[in-house]
Amino acid sequence: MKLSRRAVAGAVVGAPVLALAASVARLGSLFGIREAHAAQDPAPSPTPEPEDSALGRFLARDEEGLTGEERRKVRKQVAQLEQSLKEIRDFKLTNDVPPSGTFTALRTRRPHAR
Amino acid sequence: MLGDEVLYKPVTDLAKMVRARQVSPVELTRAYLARIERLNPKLSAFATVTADLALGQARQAEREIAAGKDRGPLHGIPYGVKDLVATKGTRTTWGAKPYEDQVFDRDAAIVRRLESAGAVLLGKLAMIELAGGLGYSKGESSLQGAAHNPWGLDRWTCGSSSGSGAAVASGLVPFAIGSETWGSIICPSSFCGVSGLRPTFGRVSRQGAMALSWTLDKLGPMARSARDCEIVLERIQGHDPEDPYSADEKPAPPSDPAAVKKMKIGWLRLDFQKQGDKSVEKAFLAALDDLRRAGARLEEAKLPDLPFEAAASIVLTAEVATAFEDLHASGGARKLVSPDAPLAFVVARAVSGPDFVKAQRVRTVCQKAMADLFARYDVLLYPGEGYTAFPLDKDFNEIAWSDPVGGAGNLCGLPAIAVPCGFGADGMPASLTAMTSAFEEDKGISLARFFQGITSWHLKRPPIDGAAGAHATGTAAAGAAAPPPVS
Repeated sequence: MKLSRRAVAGAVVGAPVLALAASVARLGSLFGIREAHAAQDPAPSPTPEPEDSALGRFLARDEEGLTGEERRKVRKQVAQLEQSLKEIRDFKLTNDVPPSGTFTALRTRRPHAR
Repeated sequence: MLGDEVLYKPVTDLAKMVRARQVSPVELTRAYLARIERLNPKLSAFATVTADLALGQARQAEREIAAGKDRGPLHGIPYGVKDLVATKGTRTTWGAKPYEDQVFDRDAAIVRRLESAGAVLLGKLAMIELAGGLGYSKGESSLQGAAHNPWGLDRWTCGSSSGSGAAVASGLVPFAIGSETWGSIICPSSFCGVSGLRPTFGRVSRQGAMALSWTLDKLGPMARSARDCEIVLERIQGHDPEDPYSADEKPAPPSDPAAVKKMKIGWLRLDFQKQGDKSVEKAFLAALDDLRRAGARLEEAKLPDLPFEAAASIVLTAEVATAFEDLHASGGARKLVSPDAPLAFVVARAVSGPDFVKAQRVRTVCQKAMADLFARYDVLLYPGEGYTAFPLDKDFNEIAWSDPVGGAGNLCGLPAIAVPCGFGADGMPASLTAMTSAFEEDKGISLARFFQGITSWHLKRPPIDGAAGAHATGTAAAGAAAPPPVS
């Protein structure tokens, strides 16, 4: 569940999602997709790594028991995830759009119904 | 002992042979068990082989069939199930060290349904630990080690249904149950050259299956043909009040390959200039040509310009972190093969409550847009993966790519079926994938069956037995080597 931002950026199809793809692809690799065959991979265009954010630094520092390398990875992965978060936060929605999925009240099921 | 040619037959053929008493369920089960014993050490496809259970179920099927009781086309047919599905009394490891001794006291709903259909459980299939939910960078990230691709033992099967892909492709089982949260049925099916169906979200009960993401997880069949996938779907679908997300929908209608010529079929162009293997693109485009020549009407389509992947990744990040919070609290995540697994919980804290709800609201917009798109098309075609299977020793950190179509399909809970459509330049399988609107699996299966009726890619066998000529052409133009499975 990690990513090569350099390779991802070069691989993204839709230009509007260039930035968020880094975090998306990181997650994608979780699920067994999007990893490429190195020998077949075209030379990707270099893209700068996302910069550490204050939140990433905080989360990395706040978690106990991490090694220095793990804290670095947390900062990097949070920075990547924040690109997806930005995409979603910037997406304009009107008040009438509810979350997907429907909450329903749960009816009591009694052993001896009236 | 039955020969390999029998063990590679589709369910449709095996079912006929069982009914015609040409082969008995016990004989079939013994033959698969022997093949598993011989080949599994090379493939690491199985986590646990349930030989005694299988032989017991096979004997029961044999008695019932002899007595004239017919449970349908899966009666007496062996299969394997991904090791995230609970089986009573047999360990269910979720592919992960912290759960290696986990045993449930009840079968999952899907196992109960298959037992009711008379199917014979050969065992639990290996998988990436926790279905990859906490991240991994190597194919070896599994309690069972790396699964090997039968088409090239130095290649990976993809995941997380890695054992399901390897087992079907190598003839260790006629069909398998896999699961997909994002890509875990389609990708192993593509890399292993088998047919794999991701059902609509809610179509198949997940009661008793490991939860990775409550709003993204699906269980589905992987088999030797689209028709076999349909046969399995027919038996595992249906509303289940024990899965709160189970859909109370009518069963999928039967597929109809003849209807394909009347369908509006769109195809999605992936930019192979930016990512992917050109030889995979070539196989995909050749498949489209085969369809056109056979009378299908195709036109290029485009996905709506929406943040499918971003929304899916946020939903997933948040749900995964809470699904395994006990593992984090106990320190158990440190026992996983993937060294970075514990970090997933820390990173997930970057997603706030409002972020999660916003992603779910964006999901509403995405669902509507995809529903509108499918008002114009019955089926959307795309390459299942842009690449063929990559080397097992590859570190995924180095390379990754985007998956907007898979992101859209999984975010919106839409069904898709992947079928083999040729080989890449390296001789590894490539796939054609058909996605449809929710609860319209029949249309995707119809198209896949139509394609398999004019080609023979799905009949190719990997060189795991030393078979030669596995990569012979299978296009319609080259002449299909064998008739498609029909039932």
